[in-house]
Amino acid sequence: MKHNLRRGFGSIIMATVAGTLISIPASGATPCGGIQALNCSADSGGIATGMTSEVLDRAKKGLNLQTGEPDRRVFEYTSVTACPLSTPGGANADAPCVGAVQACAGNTPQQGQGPQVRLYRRELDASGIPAVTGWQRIGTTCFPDLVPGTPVLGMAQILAAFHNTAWAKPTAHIQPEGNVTLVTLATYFEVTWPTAGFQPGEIDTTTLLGNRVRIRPTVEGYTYVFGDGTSSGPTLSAGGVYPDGDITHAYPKAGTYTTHIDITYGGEFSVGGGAWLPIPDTATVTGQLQPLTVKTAHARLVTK
Amino acid sequence: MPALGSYHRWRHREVGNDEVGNDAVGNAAAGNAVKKTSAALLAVPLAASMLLAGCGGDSNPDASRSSTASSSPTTTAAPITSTSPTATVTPTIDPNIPAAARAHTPAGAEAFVRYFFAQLNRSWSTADPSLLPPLSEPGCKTCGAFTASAAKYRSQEQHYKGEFFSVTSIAALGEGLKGQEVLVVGQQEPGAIVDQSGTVIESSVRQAGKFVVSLHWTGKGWNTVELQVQK
Repeated sequence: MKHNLRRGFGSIIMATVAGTLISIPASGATPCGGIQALNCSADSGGIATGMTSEVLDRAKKGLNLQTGEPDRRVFEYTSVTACPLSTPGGANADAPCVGAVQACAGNTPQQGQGPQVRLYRRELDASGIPAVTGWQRIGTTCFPDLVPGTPVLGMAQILAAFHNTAWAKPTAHIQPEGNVTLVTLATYFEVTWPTAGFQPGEIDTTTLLGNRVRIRPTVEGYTYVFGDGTSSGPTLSAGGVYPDGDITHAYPKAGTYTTHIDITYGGEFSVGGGAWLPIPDTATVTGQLQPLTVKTAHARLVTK
Repeated sequence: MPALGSYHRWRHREVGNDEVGNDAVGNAAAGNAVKKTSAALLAVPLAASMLLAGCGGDSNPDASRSSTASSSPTTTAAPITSTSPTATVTPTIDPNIPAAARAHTPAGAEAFVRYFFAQLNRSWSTADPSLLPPLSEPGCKTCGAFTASAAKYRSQEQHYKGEFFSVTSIAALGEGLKGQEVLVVGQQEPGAIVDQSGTVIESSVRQAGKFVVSLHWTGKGWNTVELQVQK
Protein backbone atom coordinates (compact mmCIF):
# COMPACT_ATOMS: atom_id res chain seq x y z
CA MET A 1 0.00 0.00 0.00
CA LYS A 2 1.72 3.12 -1.09
CA HIS A 3 -0.14 5.48 1.17
CA ASN A 4 -3.36 5.66 3.02
CA LEU A 5 -3.86 9.30 3.70
CA ARG A 6 -2.93 11.81 1.12
CA ARG A 7 -1.88 14.90 2.99
CA GLY A 8 0.68 17.60 2.72
CA PHE A 9 1.18 20.83 0.94
CA GLY A 10 -0.14 19.56 -2.33
CA SER A 11 -3.42 18.54 -0.79
CA ILE A 12 -4.21 21.77 1.02
CA ILE A 13 -6.64 23.54 -1.18
CA MET A 14 -8.52 26.78 -0.95
CA ALA A 15 -12.22 26.42 -1.57
CA THR A 16 -15.37 28.29 -0.78
CA VAL A 17 -18.36 27.01 1.06
CA ALA A 18 -20.43 25.36 -1.55
CA GLY A 19 -24.06 26.34 -1.70
CA THR A 20 -26.67 23.76 -0.99
CA LEU A 21 -28.32 22.63 -4.14
CA ILE A 22 -30.96 20.05 -4.67
CA SER A 23 -31.76 18.89 -8.14
CA ILE A 24 -35.29 19.21 -9.31
CA PRO A 25 -36.70 17.44 -12.31
CA ALA A 26 -37.26 20.03 -14.96
CA SER A 27 -40.43 20.08 -16.90
CA GLY A 28 -40.04 17.79 -19.85
CA ALA A 29 -37.56 15.57 -18.05
CA THR A 30 -37.73 11.88 -18.86
CA PRO A 31 -38.66 10.26 -15.58
CA CYS A 32 -37.30 6.93 -14.46
CA GLY A 33 -39.61 3.96 -14.28
CA GLY A 34 -40.57 3.77 -17.93
CA ILE A 35 -40.32 0.84 -20.25
CA GLN A 36 -36.68 1.64 -21.06
CA ALA A 37 -35.19 1.07 -17.65
CA LEU A 38 -32.07 3.13 -18.31
CA ASN A 39 -33.69 6.11 -19.99
CA CYS A 40 -33.96 8.56 -17.13
CA SER A 41 -32.89 12.02 -18.16
CA ALA A 42 -30.14 13.78 -16.25
CA ASP A 43 -32.57 16.25 -14.70
CA SER A 44 -34.96 13.59 -13.43
CA GLY A 45 -32.94 12.89 -10.31
CA GLY A 46 -32.50 9.29 -11.38
CA ILE A 47 -29.00 9.67 -12.71
CA ALA A 48 -25.85 9.16 -10.68
CA THR A 49 -23.03 11.24 -12.08
CA GLY A 50 -19.46 11.26 -10.90
CA MET A 51 -17.22 14.25 -10.44
CA THR A 52 -15.70 15.27 -13.75
CA SER A 53 -12.09 16.11 -14.44
CA GLU A 54 -13.10 19.78 -14.56
CA VAL A 55 -14.47 19.66 -11.00
CA LEU A 56 -11.36 17.88 -9.76
CA ASP A 57 -9.23 20.50 -11.43
CA ARG A 58 -11.12 23.18 -9.54
CA ALA A 59 -10.42 21.33 -6.30
CA LYS A 60 -6.74 21.19 -7.10
CA LYS A 61 -6.66 24.89 -7.85
CA GLY A 62 -8.54 25.82 -4.70
CA LEU A 63 -11.58 27.04 -6.57
CA ASN A 64 -15.22 26.66 -5.67
CA LEU A 65 -16.21 23.26 -7.00
CA GLN A 66 -19.46 24.47 -8.48
CA THR A 67 -18.74 27.96 -9.70
CA GLY A 68 -15.03 27.83 -10.37
CA GLU A 69 -14.65 31.10 -8.50
CA PRO A 70 -11.71 31.75 -6.12
CA ASP A 71 -12.20 30.46 -2.59
CA ARG A 72 -11.04 31.59 0.81
CA ARG A 73 -11.36 28.45 2.89
CA VAL A 74 -8.67 25.81 3.18
CA PHE A 75 -9.54 22.19 2.65
CA GLU A 76 -7.56 19.03 2.90
CA TYR A 77 -8.55 16.27 0.52
CA THR A 78 -8.22 12.52 0.52
CA SER A 79 -9.75 9.73 -1.47
CA VAL A 80 -10.39 6.02 -1.13
CA THR A 81 -11.49 3.40 -3.59
CA ALA A 82 -15.25 2.93 -3.81
CA CYS A 83 -15.14 -0.33 -1.91
CA PRO A 84 -16.91 -1.61 1.21
CA LEU A 85 -13.77 -1.76 3.34
CA SER A 86 -12.12 1.44 2.14
CA THR A 87 -12.08 4.30 4.62
CA PRO A 88 -9.91 7.41 4.85
CA GLY A 89 -6.72 6.46 6.59
CA GLY A 90 -7.68 2.80 6.65
CA ALA A 91 -5.48 -0.06 5.62
CA ASN A 92 -7.57 -0.69 2.52
CA ALA A 93 -7.97 2.90 1.41
CA ASP A 94 -6.39 2.33 -1.97
CA ALA A 95 -7.26 -1.30 -2.53
CA PRO A 96 -9.44 -1.76 -5.60
CA CYS A 97 -12.43 -4.09 -5.66
CA VAL A 98 -14.74 -5.54 -8.27
CA GLY A 99 -17.36 -2.83 -7.86
CA ALA A 100 -14.92 0.05 -8.11
CA VAL A 101 -13.48 -1.40 -11.31
CA GLN A 102 -16.85 -2.21 -12.86
CA ALA A 103 -18.29 1.19 -11.98
CA CYS A 104 -16.00 2.78 -14.57
CA ALA A 105 -15.58 -0.18 -16.91
CA GLY A 106 -16.22 0.60 -20.53
CA ASN A 107 -15.49 4.29 -20.12
CA THR A 108 -13.28 6.16 -22.52
CA PRO A 109 -10.20 7.94 -21.15
CA GLN A 110 -12.22 11.15 -21.40
CA GLN A 111 -14.89 9.65 -19.14
CA GLY A 112 -12.33 8.29 -16.67
CA GLN A 113 -11.46 4.63 -16.48
CA GLY A 114 -11.44 4.23 -12.73
CA PRO A 115 -11.31 2.46 -10.45
CA GLN A 116 -14.01 4.60 -8.93
CA VAL A 117 -12.89 6.52 -5.86
CA ARG A 118 -14.74 8.51 -3.25
CA LEU A 119 -13.38 11.97 -2.59
CA TYR A 120 -13.41 13.43 0.91
CA ARG A 121 -12.37 16.75 2.33
CA ARG A 122 -12.13 18.54 5.65
CA GLU A 123 -11.56 22.17 6.47
CA LEU A 124 -8.29 23.33 7.96
CA ASP A 125 -7.76 26.29 10.22
CA ALA A 126 -5.14 28.98 9.70
CA SER A 127 -2.41 26.83 11.21
CA GLY A 128 -3.23 23.90 8.96
CA ILE A 129 -4.96 21.86 11.64
CA PRO A 130 -8.26 20.20 10.76
CA ALA A 131 -11.02 22.48 11.97
CA VAL A 132 -13.55 19.68 12.02
CA THR A 133 -13.31 16.05 12.95
CA GLY A 134 -14.06 13.46 10.38
CA TRP A 135 -14.04 13.59 6.65
CA GLN A 136 -16.87 14.87 4.54
CA ARG A 137 -17.71 12.86 1.45
CA ILE A 138 -18.17 15.11 -1.53
CA GLY A 139 -18.62 12.67 -4.37
CA THR A 140 -17.23 9.89 -6.49
CA THR A 141 -15.21 9.98 -9.64
CA CYS A 142 -13.75 7.69 -12.28
CA PHE A 143 -10.60 9.87 -12.38
CA PRO A 144 -8.53 8.52 -9.47
CA ASP A 145 -5.41 9.92 -11.07
CA LEU A 146 -6.79 13.47 -10.99
CA VAL A 147 -7.90 13.75 -7.37
CA PRO A 148 -6.11 16.33 -5.23
CA GLY A 149 -3.04 15.03 -3.45
CA THR A 150 -0.78 12.18 -4.41
CA PRO A 151 -1.68 10.56 -7.73
CA VAL A 152 -3.57 7.33 -7.31
CA LEU A 153 -3.00 4.27 -9.42
CA GLY A 154 -5.77 4.15 -11.96
CA MET A 155 -7.13 1.66 -14.42
CA ALA A 156 -5.67 3.73 -17.24
CA GLN A 157 -2.18 2.74 -16.09
CA ILE A 158 -3.25 -0.85 -15.50
CA LEU A 159 -4.91 -1.04 -18.91
CA ALA A 160 -1.78 0.39 -20.51
CA ALA A 161 0.30 -2.28 -18.79
CA PHE A 162 -2.21 -4.92 -19.89
CA HIS A 163 -1.93 -3.85 -23.51
CA ASN A 164 1.86 -3.73 -23.25
CA THR A 165 2.01 -7.35 -22.17
CA ALA A 166 4.33 -9.47 -24.26
CA TRP A 167 1.60 -11.83 -25.35
CA ALA A 168 2.35 -15.41 -26.25
CA LYS A 169 1.23 -16.15 -29.80
CA PRO A 170 -0.61 -19.45 -30.08
CA THR A 171 0.67 -21.93 -32.61
CA ALA A 172 -1.53 -24.42 -34.43
CA HIS A 173 -0.71 -28.09 -34.05
CA ILE A 174 -2.30 -29.71 -37.08
CA GLN A 175 -3.16 -33.33 -37.74
CA PRO A 176 -2.35 -35.16 -39.97
CA GLU A 177 1.19 -34.40 -38.87
CA GLY A 178 3.67 -32.58 -41.07
CA ASN A 179 1.25 -29.86 -42.09
CA VAL A 180 0.05 -31.91 -45.06
CA THR A 181 -3.52 -33.10 -45.35
CA LEU A 182 -5.94 -34.35 -47.98
CA VAL A 183 -8.96 -32.84 -49.62
CA THR A 184 -12.20 -33.56 -47.70
CA LEU A 185 -10.27 -35.21 -44.88
CA ALA A 186 -11.09 -34.00 -41.38
CA THR A 187 -8.06 -32.00 -40.33
CA TYR A 188 -7.58 -31.39 -36.60
CA PHE A 189 -6.39 -28.15 -35.02
CA GLU A 190 -5.03 -27.71 -31.52
CA VAL A 191 -3.58 -24.70 -29.66
CA THR A 192 0.02 -24.99 -28.53
CA TRP A 193 2.13 -22.34 -26.86
CA PRO A 194 5.67 -21.13 -27.46
CA THR A 195 7.97 -20.44 -24.53
CA ALA A 196 8.13 -16.75 -25.42
CA GLY A 197 5.55 -14.38 -24.04
CA PHE A 198 2.84 -14.64 -21.42
CA GLN A 199 0.18 -17.21 -22.19
CA PRO A 200 -3.09 -17.59 -20.26
CA GLY A 201 -2.42 -18.18 -16.57
CA GLU A 202 1.16 -16.88 -16.61
CA ILE A 203 1.69 -13.85 -14.41
CA ASP A 204 3.40 -10.71 -15.63
CA THR A 205 4.59 -8.50 -12.76
CA THR A 206 5.32 -4.82 -13.06
CA THR A 207 5.56 -1.73 -10.86
CA LEU A 208 3.19 1.19 -11.38
CA LEU A 209 3.42 4.33 -9.25
CA GLY A 210 5.24 2.32 -6.63
CA ASN A 211 2.68 -0.47 -6.56
CA ARG A 212 3.46 -4.06 -7.45
CA VAL A 213 0.91 -4.91 -10.10
CA ARG A 214 0.41 -8.43 -11.38
CA ILE A 215 -1.38 -9.14 -14.63
CA ARG A 216 -2.63 -12.61 -15.44
CA PRO A 217 -3.91 -13.19 -18.99
CA THR A 218 -7.09 -15.17 -19.53
CA VAL A 219 -8.72 -16.57 -22.64
CA GLU A 220 -11.78 -14.79 -23.94
CA GLY A 221 -11.84 -16.77 -27.14
CA TYR A 222 -9.89 -18.50 -29.92
CA THR A 223 -10.60 -18.01 -33.60
CA TYR A 224 -9.29 -20.71 -35.92
CA VAL A 225 -8.48 -19.27 -39.33
CA PHE A 226 -8.17 -22.04 -41.92
CA GLY A 227 -6.75 -19.94 -44.72
CA ASP A 228 -9.35 -20.83 -47.33
CA GLY A 229 -11.67 -18.02 -46.39
CA THR A 230 -13.33 -19.91 -43.57
CA SER A 231 -12.80 -19.84 -39.84
CA SER A 232 -14.22 -21.26 -36.63
CA GLY A 233 -14.93 -19.32 -33.48
CA PRO A 234 -14.50 -17.39 -31.37
CA THR A 235 -14.64 -20.31 -29.00
CA LEU A 236 -13.14 -21.21 -25.67
CA SER A 237 -12.09 -24.58 -27.06
CA ALA A 238 -8.36 -25.10 -27.45
CA GLY A 239 -9.07 -27.78 -30.02
CA GLY A 240 -7.41 -31.17 -29.84
CA VAL A 241 -6.09 -34.16 -31.69
CA TYR A 242 -7.69 -37.12 -33.41
CA PRO A 243 -10.19 -38.51 -32.56
CA ASP A 244 -11.57 -36.26 -29.79
CA GLY A 245 -10.55 -32.80 -30.94
CA ASP A 246 -13.57 -30.58 -31.53
CA ILE A 247 -11.99 -28.17 -34.01
CA THR A 248 -11.74 -29.76 -37.43
CA HIS A 249 -11.92 -28.56 -40.99
CA ALA A 250 -12.25 -30.40 -44.29
CA TYR A 251 -10.72 -28.52 -47.20
CA PRO A 252 -12.73 -28.84 -50.39
CA LYS A 253 -9.88 -27.94 -52.73
CA ALA A 254 -6.20 -28.69 -52.97
CA GLY A 255 -3.69 -25.93 -52.41
CA THR A 256 -1.43 -24.31 -49.89
CA TYR A 257 -3.16 -22.35 -47.16
CA THR A 258 -1.89 -20.11 -44.39
CA THR A 259 -3.56 -21.01 -41.13
CA HIS A 260 -3.38 -19.38 -37.73
CA ILE A 261 -5.16 -19.34 -34.41
CA ASP A 262 -6.00 -15.88 -33.11
CA ILE A 263 -6.65 -15.33 -29.45
CA THR A 264 -8.61 -12.66 -27.67
CA TYR A 265 -6.98 -12.17 -24.31
CA GLY A 266 -8.80 -10.98 -21.25
CA GLY A 267 -7.03 -10.60 -17.97
CA GLU A 268 -7.03 -10.18 -14.25
CA PHE A 269 -4.94 -7.86 -12.15
CA SER A 270 -3.81 -7.66 -8.57
CA VAL A 271 -2.38 -4.64 -6.78
CA GLY A 272 0.03 -5.07 -3.89
CA GLY A 273 -0.78 -8.74 -3.43
CA GLY A 274 -4.51 -8.08 -3.21
CA ALA A 275 -7.35 -10.03 -4.72
CA TRP A 276 -7.46 -10.81 -8.42
CA LEU A 277 -9.92 -8.57 -10.24
CA PRO A 278 -11.08 -8.72 -13.84
CA ILE A 279 -9.55 -6.28 -16.31
CA PRO A 280 -12.40 -4.58 -18.18
CA ASP A 281 -10.81 -4.84 -21.60
CA THR A 282 -9.51 -7.34 -24.12
CA ALA A 283 -6.65 -7.61 -26.59
CA THR A 284 -6.66 -9.71 -29.75
CA VAL A 285 -3.40 -11.28 -30.92
CA THR A 286 -2.80 -13.02 -34.22
CA GLY A 287 -1.21 -16.43 -33.79
CA GLN A 288 1.82 -17.83 -35.55
CA LEU A 289 1.21 -18.40 -39.26
CA GLN A 290 1.26 -22.04 -40.24
CA PRO A 291 1.35 -23.11 -43.89
CA LEU A 292 -0.77 -26.15 -44.64
CA THR A 293 -0.62 -28.13 -47.87
CA VAL A 294 -3.83 -29.79 -48.98
CA LYS A 295 -3.38 -32.53 -51.56
CA THR A 296 -5.75 -34.52 -53.68
CA ALA A 297 -5.66 -38.27 -53.20
CA HIS A 298 -6.04 -40.45 -56.30
CA ALA A 299 -7.31 -43.98 -55.84
CA ARG A 300 -5.36 -46.51 -57.86
CA LEU A 301 -5.84 -50.22 -58.23
CA VAL A 302 -2.47 -51.89 -58.02
CA THR A 303 -1.92 -55.43 -59.10
CA LYS A 304 1.17 -57.31 -58.03
CA MET B 1 -7.85 -7.90 5.06
CA PRO B 2 -9.86 -6.86 8.05
CA ALA B 3 -12.28 -9.36 9.43
CA LEU B 4 -15.95 -8.98 8.80
CA GLY B 5 -16.17 -7.37 12.18
CA SER B 6 -14.84 -4.19 10.69
CA TYR B 7 -18.27 -3.77 9.23
CA HIS B 8 -19.25 -1.69 12.17
CA ARG B 9 -18.37 1.21 9.94
CA TRP B 10 -21.61 0.64 8.09
CA ARG B 11 -23.48 3.11 10.18
CA HIS B 12 -26.96 4.32 9.66
CA ARG B 13 -27.01 7.58 7.80
CA GLU B 14 -29.70 10.16 7.47
CA VAL B 15 -30.71 10.58 3.90
CA GLY B 16 -30.69 14.05 2.49
CA ASN B 17 -27.63 15.59 4.02
CA ASP B 18 -24.99 14.14 1.78
CA GLU B 19 -27.32 13.95 -1.14
CA VAL B 20 -27.06 17.69 -1.27
CA GLY B 21 -23.35 17.52 -1.84
CA ASN B 22 -23.69 14.88 -4.51
CA ASP B 23 -26.16 16.77 -6.57
CA ALA B 24 -24.39 20.02 -6.03
CA VAL B 25 -21.14 18.83 -7.45
CA GLY B 26 -22.40 16.38 -10.00
CA ASN B 27 -24.95 18.62 -11.58
CA ALA B 28 -22.74 21.64 -11.55
CA ALA B 29 -20.13 19.63 -13.33
CA ALA B 30 -22.57 18.45 -15.90
CA GLY B 31 -23.85 21.89 -16.47
CA ASN B 32 -27.36 20.85 -15.65
CA ALA B 33 -29.97 23.18 -14.33
CA VAL B 34 -30.23 22.92 -10.57
CA LYS B 35 -32.46 24.90 -8.31
CA LYS B 36 -31.99 25.92 -4.75
CA THR B 37 -34.14 24.61 -2.01
CA SER B 38 -36.00 26.54 0.59
CA ALA B 39 -34.54 27.29 3.97
CA ALA B 40 -37.22 25.26 5.62
CA LEU B 41 -36.24 22.15 3.79
CA LEU B 42 -32.69 22.57 4.94
CA ALA B 43 -33.66 22.12 8.52
CA VAL B 44 -33.77 18.37 8.13
CA PRO B 45 -30.34 18.05 6.54
CA LEU B 46 -28.94 20.35 9.20
CA ALA B 47 -30.40 18.28 11.96
CA ALA B 48 -29.10 15.16 10.32
CA SER B 49 -25.69 16.74 10.01
CA MET B 50 -25.58 17.60 13.69
CA LEU B 51 -26.74 14.14 14.61
CA LEU B 52 -24.10 12.52 12.49
CA ALA B 53 -21.39 14.72 13.87
CA GLY B 54 -22.38 13.63 17.32
CA CYS B 55 -22.02 9.96 16.52
CA GLY B 56 -18.86 10.19 14.54
CA GLY B 57 -20.42 10.61 11.15
CA ASP B 58 -19.40 13.10 8.56
CA SER B 59 -20.86 16.55 8.82
CA ASN B 60 -21.67 18.72 5.89
CA PRO B 61 -20.89 22.34 6.64
CA ASP B 62 -21.94 23.37 3.19
CA ALA B 63 -25.45 22.17 3.78
CA SER B 64 -25.79 23.97 7.07
CA ARG B 65 -24.68 27.28 5.65
CA SER B 66 -26.89 27.41 2.64
CA SER B 67 -30.09 29.27 3.14
CA THR B 68 -31.04 30.53 -0.25
CA ALA B 69 -34.78 30.65 -0.40
CA SER B 70 -36.78 29.59 -3.35
CA SER B 71 -40.35 28.86 -4.07
CA SER B 72 -39.38 26.00 -6.31
CA PRO B 73 -40.64 22.61 -5.25
CA THR B 74 -38.13 19.92 -4.55
CA THR B 75 -38.20 16.21 -4.99
CA THR B 76 -36.30 15.32 -1.86
CA ALA B 77 -39.37 13.97 -0.17
CA ALA B 78 -41.78 13.74 -3.01
CA PRO B 79 -44.08 10.81 -2.44
CA ILE B 80 -46.05 9.07 -5.10
CA THR B 81 -48.89 11.40 -5.81
CA SER B 82 -52.28 10.65 -4.46
CA THR B 83 -53.54 9.97 -7.95
CA SER B 84 -50.96 7.28 -8.41
CA PRO B 85 -52.17 3.72 -7.95
CA THR B 86 -49.15 3.12 -5.74
CA ALA B 87 -50.59 5.38 -3.11
CA THR B 88 -52.92 2.58 -2.18
CA VAL B 89 -50.09 0.11 -1.66
CA THR B 90 -49.23 -0.36 1.98
CA PRO B 91 -45.62 -1.37 2.47
CA THR B 92 -45.11 -4.38 4.68
CA ILE B 93 -42.09 -6.41 5.48
CA ASP B 94 -41.47 -8.88 2.71
CA PRO B 95 -41.31 -12.31 4.39
CA ASN B 96 -39.70 -13.81 1.31
CA ILE B 97 -36.45 -11.87 1.53
CA PRO B 98 -33.74 -14.53 1.43
CA ALA B 99 -31.76 -15.07 4.61
CA ALA B 100 -28.57 -14.06 2.82
CA ALA B 101 -30.15 -10.70 1.99
CA ARG B 102 -30.83 -9.95 5.66
CA ALA B 103 -27.17 -9.82 6.67
CA HIS B 104 -25.59 -6.48 7.57
CA THR B 105 -22.56 -7.14 5.40
CA PRO B 106 -21.48 -6.24 1.87
CA ALA B 107 -22.55 -9.71 0.75
CA GLY B 108 -25.90 -9.16 2.43
CA ALA B 109 -26.34 -5.86 0.62
CA GLU B 110 -25.51 -7.53 -2.67
CA ALA B 111 -27.99 -10.35 -2.00
CA PHE B 112 -30.68 -7.81 -1.11
CA VAL B 113 -30.15 -5.91 -4.37
CA ARG B 114 -30.26 -9.16 -6.34
CA TYR B 115 -33.60 -9.91 -4.71
CA PHE B 116 -34.80 -6.36 -5.36
CA PHE B 117 -34.17 -6.70 -9.09
CA ALA B 118 -35.83 -10.12 -9.15
CA GLN B 119 -38.88 -8.51 -7.56
CA LEU B 120 -38.68 -5.59 -10.00
CA ASN B 121 -38.79 -8.02 -12.89
CA ARG B 122 -41.64 -9.94 -11.28
CA SER B 123 -43.49 -6.71 -10.57
CA TRP B 124 -43.56 -5.86 -14.26
CA SER B 125 -44.09 -9.34 -15.66
CA THR B 126 -47.08 -9.88 -13.39
CA ALA B 127 -48.19 -6.23 -13.18
CA ASP B 128 -47.98 -6.42 -9.41
CA PRO B 129 -47.35 -3.05 -7.71
CA SER B 130 -47.13 -4.57 -4.25
CA LEU B 131 -43.68 -6.14 -4.61
CA LEU B 132 -41.29 -3.18 -4.43
CA PRO B 133 -42.76 -0.98 -1.66
CA PRO B 134 -41.78 -3.44 1.09
CA LEU B 135 -38.20 -3.26 -0.19
CA SER B 136 -37.88 0.49 -0.55
CA GLU B 137 -38.31 3.68 1.37
CA PRO B 138 -41.12 6.05 0.40
CA GLY B 139 -38.62 8.63 -0.78
CA CYS B 140 -37.11 6.33 -3.38
CA LYS B 141 -38.30 8.14 -6.46
CA THR B 142 -37.25 5.58 -9.04
CA CYS B 143 -38.68 2.70 -6.99
CA GLY B 144 -41.96 4.57 -6.84
CA ALA B 145 -41.91 5.22 -10.56
CA PHE B 146 -41.41 1.53 -11.35
CA THR B 147 -44.22 0.66 -8.96
CA ALA B 148 -46.48 3.27 -10.51
CA SER B 149 -45.86 1.77 -13.93
CA ALA B 150 -46.71 -1.71 -12.63
CA ALA B 151 -49.92 -0.34 -11.14
CA LYS B 152 -50.83 1.30 -14.42
CA TYR B 153 -50.26 -1.95 -16.30
CA ARG B 154 -52.43 -3.79 -13.80
CA SER B 155 -55.26 -1.30 -14.14
CA GLN B 156 -55.08 -1.64 -17.91
CA GLU B 157 -54.73 -5.44 -17.79
CA GLN B 158 -51.30 -5.36 -19.34
CA HIS B 159 -47.92 -6.71 -18.35
CA TYR B 160 -44.31 -6.78 -19.47
CA LYS B 161 -43.42 -9.75 -21.65
CA GLY B 162 -39.85 -10.86 -21.12
CA GLU B 163 -37.29 -10.16 -18.43
CA PHE B 164 -37.34 -6.45 -17.74
CA PHE B 165 -33.73 -6.09 -16.60
CA SER B 166 -31.23 -8.95 -16.70
CA VAL B 167 -28.56 -8.64 -14.01
CA THR B 168 -25.05 -9.59 -15.05
CA SER B 169 -23.18 -8.74 -11.88
CA ILE B 170 -23.68 -7.09 -8.53
CA ALA B 171 -20.92 -5.60 -6.39
CA ALA B 172 -20.93 -3.57 -3.18
CA LEU B 173 -19.27 -0.15 -3.36
CA GLY B 174 -19.40 0.81 0.30
CA GLU B 175 -20.84 3.88 1.97
CA GLY B 176 -21.77 6.56 -0.51
CA LEU B 177 -23.59 9.83 -0.37
CA LYS B 178 -27.06 8.36 0.08
CA GLY B 179 -26.32 5.12 1.88
CA GLN B 180 -24.57 1.86 1.27
CA GLU B 181 -24.07 1.68 -2.45
CA VAL B 182 -24.29 -1.41 -4.62
CA LEU B 183 -23.43 -1.44 -8.31
CA VAL B 184 -25.66 -3.45 -10.65
CA VAL B 185 -24.45 -4.21 -14.16
CA GLY B 186 -26.80 -5.72 -16.68
CA GLN B 187 -28.95 -5.18 -19.71
CA GLN B 188 -32.50 -4.86 -20.81
CA GLU B 189 -33.31 -7.31 -23.57
CA PRO B 190 -35.96 -6.50 -26.16
CA GLY B 191 -39.39 -6.86 -24.59
CA ALA B 192 -42.83 -5.36 -24.71
CA ILE B 193 -45.87 -4.31 -22.78
CA VAL B 194 -48.69 -6.55 -23.99
CA ASP B 195 -52.36 -6.75 -23.21
CA GLN B 196 -54.36 -9.85 -22.39
CA SER B 197 -54.60 -10.84 -26.02
CA GLY B 198 -50.85 -10.52 -26.48
CA THR B 199 -51.09 -7.37 -28.54
CA VAL B 200 -47.96 -5.25 -28.17
CA ILE B 201 -48.75 -1.89 -26.62
CA GLU B 202 -45.20 -0.60 -26.34
CA SER B 203 -41.89 -2.28 -27.00
CA SER B 204 -38.40 -1.87 -25.58
CA VAL B 205 -35.02 -2.22 -27.24
CA ARG B 206 -31.81 -3.72 -25.93
CA GLN B 207 -29.86 -1.49 -23.58
CA ALA B 208 -26.87 -2.27 -21.45
CA GLY B 209 -26.07 -0.19 -18.43
CA LYS B 210 -25.50 0.17 -14.73
CA PHE B 211 -27.55 1.08 -11.72
CA VAL B 212 -26.28 2.36 -8.40
CA VAL B 213 -28.58 1.25 -5.61
CA SER B 214 -28.33 3.08 -2.30
CA LEU B 215 -29.42 1.10 0.73
CA HIS B 216 -30.32 1.97 4.28
CA TRP B 217 -29.91 -0.49 7.13
CA THR B 218 -32.96 -0.24 9.33
CA GLY B 219 -31.57 -2.38 12.10
CA LYS B 220 -33.66 -5.30 10.95
CA GLY B 221 -32.83 -5.34 7.29
CA TRP B 222 -32.04 -3.39 4.16
CA ASN B 223 -34.24 -0.84 2.45
CA THR B 224 -33.68 0.83 -0.89
CA VAL B 225 -33.15 4.56 -0.54
CA GLU B 226 -32.57 5.34 -4.20
CA LEU B 227 -32.05 3.63 -7.49
CA GLN B 228 -30.07 5.61 -10.03
CA VAL B 229 -28.75 4.96 -13.49
CA GLN B 230 -25.02 5.47 -13.51
CA LYS B 231 -23.68 7.69 -16.23
